[in-house]
Amino acid sequence: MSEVVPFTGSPGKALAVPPAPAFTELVTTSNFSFLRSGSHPEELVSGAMYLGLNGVGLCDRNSFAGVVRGFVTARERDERFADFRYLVGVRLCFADGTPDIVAYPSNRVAYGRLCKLLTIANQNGEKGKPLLNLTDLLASGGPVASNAQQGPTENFGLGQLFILIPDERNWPLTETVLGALAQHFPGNVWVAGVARYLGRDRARLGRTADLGRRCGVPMLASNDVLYHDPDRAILQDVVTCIREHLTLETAGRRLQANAERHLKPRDEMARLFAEHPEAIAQTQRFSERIGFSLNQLEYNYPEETIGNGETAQQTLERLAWAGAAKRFPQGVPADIAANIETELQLIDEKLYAAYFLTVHDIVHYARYELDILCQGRGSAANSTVCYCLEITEVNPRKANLVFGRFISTERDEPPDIDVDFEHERREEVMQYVYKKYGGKRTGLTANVICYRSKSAIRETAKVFGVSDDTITAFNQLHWGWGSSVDLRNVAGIGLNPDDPVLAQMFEVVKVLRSFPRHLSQHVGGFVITRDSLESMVPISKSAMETRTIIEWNKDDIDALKILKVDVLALGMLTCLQRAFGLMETHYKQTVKLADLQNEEFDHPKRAVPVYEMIQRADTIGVFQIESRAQMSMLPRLKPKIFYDLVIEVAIVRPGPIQGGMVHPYLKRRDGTDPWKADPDDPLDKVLEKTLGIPLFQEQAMQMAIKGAGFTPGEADQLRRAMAAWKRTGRISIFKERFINGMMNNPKRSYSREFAERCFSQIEGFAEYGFPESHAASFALLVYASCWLKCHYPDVFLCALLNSQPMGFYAPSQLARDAAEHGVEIRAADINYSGYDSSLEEDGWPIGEHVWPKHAVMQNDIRSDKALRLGLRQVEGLAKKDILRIVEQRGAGYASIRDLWLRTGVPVASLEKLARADAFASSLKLNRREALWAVKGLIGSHGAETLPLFAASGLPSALAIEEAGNLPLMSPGEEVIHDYASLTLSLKGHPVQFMRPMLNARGTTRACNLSTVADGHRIEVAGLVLVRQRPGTASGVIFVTLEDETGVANLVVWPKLFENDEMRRTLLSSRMLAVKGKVQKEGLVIHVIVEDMMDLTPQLLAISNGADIGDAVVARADEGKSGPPVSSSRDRHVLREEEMVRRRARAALPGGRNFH
Amino acid sequence: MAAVDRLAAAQMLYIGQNLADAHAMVPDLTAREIDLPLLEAAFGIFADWHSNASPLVAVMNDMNAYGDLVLDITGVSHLFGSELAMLRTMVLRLRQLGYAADGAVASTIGAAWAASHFAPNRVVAADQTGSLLDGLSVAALRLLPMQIAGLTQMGLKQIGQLRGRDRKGLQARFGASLIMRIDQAYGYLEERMTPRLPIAERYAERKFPDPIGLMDDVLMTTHDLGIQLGIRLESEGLGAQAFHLFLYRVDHKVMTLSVNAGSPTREPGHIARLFANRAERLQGEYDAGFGIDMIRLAASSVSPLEASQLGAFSRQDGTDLGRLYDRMSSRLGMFSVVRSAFVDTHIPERAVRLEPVIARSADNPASMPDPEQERPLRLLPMPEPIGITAEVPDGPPMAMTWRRVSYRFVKAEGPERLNAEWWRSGQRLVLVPPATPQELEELKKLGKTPPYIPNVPLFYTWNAVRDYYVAEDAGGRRFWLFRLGIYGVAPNPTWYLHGFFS
Repeated sequence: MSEVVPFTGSPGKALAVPPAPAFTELVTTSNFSFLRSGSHPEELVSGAMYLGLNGVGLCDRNSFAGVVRGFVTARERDERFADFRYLVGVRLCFADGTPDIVAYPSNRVAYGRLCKLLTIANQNGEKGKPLLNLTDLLASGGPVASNAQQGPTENFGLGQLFILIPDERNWPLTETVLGALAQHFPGNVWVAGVARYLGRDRARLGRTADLGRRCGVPMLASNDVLYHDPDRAILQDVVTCIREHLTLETAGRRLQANAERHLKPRDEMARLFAEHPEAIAQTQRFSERIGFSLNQLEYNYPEETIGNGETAQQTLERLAWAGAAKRFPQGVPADIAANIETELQLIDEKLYAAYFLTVHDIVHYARYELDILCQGRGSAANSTVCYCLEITEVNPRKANLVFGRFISTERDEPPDIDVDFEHERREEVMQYVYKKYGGKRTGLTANVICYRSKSAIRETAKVFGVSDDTITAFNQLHWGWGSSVDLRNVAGIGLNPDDPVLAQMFEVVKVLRSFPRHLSQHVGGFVITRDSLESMVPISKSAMETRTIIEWNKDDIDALKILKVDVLALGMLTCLQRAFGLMETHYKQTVKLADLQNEEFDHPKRAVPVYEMIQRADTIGVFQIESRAQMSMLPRLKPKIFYDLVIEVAIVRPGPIQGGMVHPYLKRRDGTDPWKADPDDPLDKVLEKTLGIPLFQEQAMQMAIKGAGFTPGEADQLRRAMAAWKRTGRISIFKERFINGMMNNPKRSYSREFAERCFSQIEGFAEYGFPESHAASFALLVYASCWLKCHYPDVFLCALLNSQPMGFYAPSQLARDAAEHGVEIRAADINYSGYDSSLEEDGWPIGEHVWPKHAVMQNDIRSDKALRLGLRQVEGLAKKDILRIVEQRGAGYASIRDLWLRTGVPVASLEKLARADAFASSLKLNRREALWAVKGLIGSHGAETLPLFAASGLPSALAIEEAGNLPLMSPGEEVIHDYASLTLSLKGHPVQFMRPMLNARGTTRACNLSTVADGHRIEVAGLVLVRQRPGTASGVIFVTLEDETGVANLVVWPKLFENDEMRRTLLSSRMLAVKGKVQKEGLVIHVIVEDMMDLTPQLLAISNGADIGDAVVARADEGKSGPPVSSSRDRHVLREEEMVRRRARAALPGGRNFH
Repeated sequence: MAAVDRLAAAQMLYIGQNLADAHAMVPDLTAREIDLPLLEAAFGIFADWHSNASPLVAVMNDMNAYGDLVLDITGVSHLFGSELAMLRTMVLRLRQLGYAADGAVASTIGAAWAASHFAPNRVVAADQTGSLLDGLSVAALRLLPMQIAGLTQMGLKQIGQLRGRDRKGLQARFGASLIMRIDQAYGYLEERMTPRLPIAERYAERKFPDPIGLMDDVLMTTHDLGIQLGIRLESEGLGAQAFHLFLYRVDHKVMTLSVNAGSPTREPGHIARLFANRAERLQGEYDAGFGIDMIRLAASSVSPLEASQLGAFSRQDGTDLGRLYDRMSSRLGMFSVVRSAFVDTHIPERAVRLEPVIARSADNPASMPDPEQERPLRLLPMPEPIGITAEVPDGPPMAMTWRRVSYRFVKAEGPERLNAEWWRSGQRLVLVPPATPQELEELKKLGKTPPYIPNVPLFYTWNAVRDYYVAEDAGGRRFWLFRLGIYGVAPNPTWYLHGFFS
């Protein structure tokens, strides 16, 4: 029993509080100890500052994943907290039952040791579950018992300061461990005293202090913090339940009894430790001894010397000049030479030569050794040196790009080069990087997977005990667009928005969203170091044996100024590489990216047909400008030269659209609002090339620098603040500065109103701006793909189909588009098709088959081949089976049995072939006959069941298949089945079978839309190909419908979409009939939707019903015959009809949804 | 969805549909959770009721475990006039009761099923069976979904298309069960039904030449039957937990009386007593009508029960605790005999709950009280408000006034702080600062609606926190007190007495 604790003051502000002693919270867990904390590291750090603590240490469980976040918050603190200290530590949690030990490295070397220790723990454990034993920490010098391969290890505990968290349920063990620690690391050990408010706190603290005294270890005050604010205890409860797969109802005492584990102010800590003031003082003694901060992580880059005595800089200079000579065979122009000179000088100054050499080496290896198409982009790629090193392909001179300060000296930001590779072959490049630098020096950056609305709702709902059905319904509320969480919407699924459980749940979701969930690997960001990477950051395993991942993501890397090389994958590069190969084989023409660009620049006339095609928005399948939003921009922007493509790529982006730049730009471009740069206006200089409208990210930054007098460093801070403006209020500080800066510009003073408009303009760029250098690199790919599509649609289609999945359109639309351009497409067949789609020489004369709407292109199309669909198009067919079929084909298969016996392909695969109608052309077996025959094969592997035949190899004489004598499929059914197994049909279009009905409705064909006068109301109908809601177009949804004559483009205004019924119809239907007003703008025709109707049931009924749906027939019979007719149909009949409907429905394209 | 009613079906909802989809289609849909075992059992009882039309009634569970009834009407239909009349009577009777029912009469079970589902409410004469079936969908053959899909793929959509085909070919492709179903439907293969009625395999019964009526006679007979049944169960090494008494009245009604034992038993005395206790409570409902001519005692929920010696000196009159529970529960009602069980929660008054002894839940080690946490022996039924003298903010109490008596404390310990279970509060939380007026203004400008604030009171953490103290007065009495609300943050903290340690 305790006596009355002396009164010391209250947490309220009413009483005068004596100046409280300095206190630093040293035990904090952030939500980077996944699902064990209710606060972000940033919140813990800023919370500690605002509570007046002298510092805070972040120590997550066996991980440094969150430390950089806290570091950045502490680094960007304001002056009031100048003395605040941020410390980096880790909470070592052991698998052997040892109480948790918090370790803080006192210097850089000790930090490296901790990283290595954690790396070992990561390797010993499963992915995401590091395994650590006390012996790993205490073993000094000798081999580590738990991982013999590691060999002798250093003493990981050297240079660390330790805080033991006592296990209050096992005091003897705590004492043993504390004793051992104190003995191993004398003077470097503390024991944490925590006032937990669990009753007997006084006794508990006394006991801890005694324990420390016995071991010669001082007690240190802490609150073992799990969240920065008491309210977050609620989040703590929820994440605990998520982690333990419990509901709040069943979690019981696995949740904390109270909400006391938050950051507490100094006076409150002093009050709680009134009997142990020394424990508070110890926190200061502890932090004084720490001399480590993350900015000491001096990053050392591999030297990249090639062993001929040259320094990296010398090598780079030699390669750059050699490259320049190659790029400019007629001699390097003077301005280019000057550029190279300055750039090299800058690179030398910043010691970035090695980095450029690394990228150069990777690109060269990929291009010349592996023959992989690749292209660089990124801020540093915006340089003449990169062009000369063949990292980028866009000729800076010809493309009229500003290649100025590609590295900002003042910002001191590391250069950034991303390299795109063919998506199917990127792995080879990555393996090369690992091979070259070794696993110990190379790691992929992590990707922090955070809760998003959908996952946060799902997990939280489970914790609240909401049924799975309702959870599914919740997710459908956000169907497709991952929209914001608004409670109001639940009324739409029949729930009460005033329900307290839902109210609580959705409030929790708001916070849980953005919580990190786990680390996964970034797509391709490599961090490479000269010496051991594991002494800089803990490395963990990845799902792929050969890869290693570091614990930090790209923002963290950025913040610490660590260089990384992005090895990315781009589907269009695969496609182009394939296309160039096909050009070589079938048209004996060598095509290269750079050649295409040169042709465009040097012979503008030759590029005219390509640009004409682009202006007509005939861009299905090409790179970037194939989306609806892009396509509707093309006829307005009318690109004529390469730089127009650069603008086109950049303008249809959230940044310019939200900033309202699109219309002003178009007006200036077409001359309705003429604009001339004022040579004295500093802003006009920045914006000259884009007619006074900022379109690129660089321009936004330049406006802040040139217009408002920001330093480049500040401009960069502004950009970052904008990206995070929702979370912090910092943006308003910048806004004031920006506006004042603009108004007081020395060269020219701007009005406040103008300045405000500029600011809101560049606000849009914060998150979504597109740098000019990226746009330029992309524009080249746009041009190349358009060139192919324009002149060789057969080659283009073939390459696209073989590179799937990629791009915006499904194979059926790509094939259809090619067919409209006259390409002959032949069905997949076991005797003619390869794995990939291929070109066959004896194509029909393409000019005669071009559809009227593309008639103008007739003379530009140079194709004369036919396309044969590959067997890879057959849904679900294993690659190895296809290869086997192709390999064993010889002179061809005489029958299904022959095929089966010769290849030994499983019957299941043959069934897929039969379903795809792949026996029709060569064996003259229709789908059903083939299926009948296949199903009659006994056993699963022909060669296994009949070894004799396999040996003699001549079984085909026996192969007489029983004639199926099966009913023929109706044409509609054929088409649907084609869609189901090939994703496209060459036999027809599903909508054509509905035409009689559509005619009766008075529906307009897509091809006739151009003849409808502007403003008329009509109806169109078709399959839903694409629904797109660009996050930018203020909620407008673009929908593309396809009927047998072409596509119709719809615009759905948000108002209509808000209507529950309309939204449901739009999102769920596969065939849609739409009434609306025709709107014409040049060549672009939109239908502004006013009403829509789901025709899916009719489509299904017409294309199968009359044929498949005997159930429907039976129902009709029921009506005719005499006996009593029940008012409801029998559930078996219903179910049967439903099965038929669903099978057909699954076969039809669902429409792709894009944001 | 496992079942839809007529209205739902009219809205194009279907069995197997995702509930969320259905809600999306019909927002004001009423959905109830289905208890399949219960439904199946109920359908079984419903089936039994049809034994008034024909003694041979079975539930067909080829497609569903409920929903399809088959009656063998051989030799019965003349009682209704004709087969068609019988069908009509039965279907109409069900419809009048509010069921959506269809039926058919045919010469084979398969054909009757097919007709009732795909061409319902007709009598199919034996010579018409073939022609009727030929025109129906293959789904009418009670096939697996896979078989139906396969046949449909081949374009073989009507039963007639199958008949002429090579049987071997069909069997190779669609399995022997297809052939079996065809043969069953056409009557090439006999199909047997399993009548429901003799369900309880273990029963004992007695018929009376003269009907009896008195309750005491019934109970006496029950005891006798209990002995017979007990012997039978013992010989099989079984015990049963549920016993049913069927009293067949001369007016063709059946009265049933069921009792449950806490654990498997076969002891006749025990069984008889359970019925006797039950009968006392049922006195009013018991109605022998014109008399009972047969009594059957059946056992269900059987499980193995080893023969065991109850002890050389034990008196077999129910001194054993389990039997006491059974007797008390059957006499006083299940909810009148309870025991305490631990609940895994921090909240003291919820940490123990009462549950019926005969339906006790398994002890969960996670729910056991924490030995580290001091809890009083006795809790007051409701915490009682007290006057207190204590330091602010969380000093221990020094004196209290409880029921107008003052106590001075000499020792106190605490606080132990317990938060309310916020998810039970029925109040809303605010974890993200609500939009400021300026932000609302901006939203308005953008044409967006501000976030919805539910019409639910707000949850204030600090009002619901309890700080518990153990306080001892000069006389050595130890009290468990708490303060609701934290000083400085809650508007009005109040003190309560919650329990006693001695």
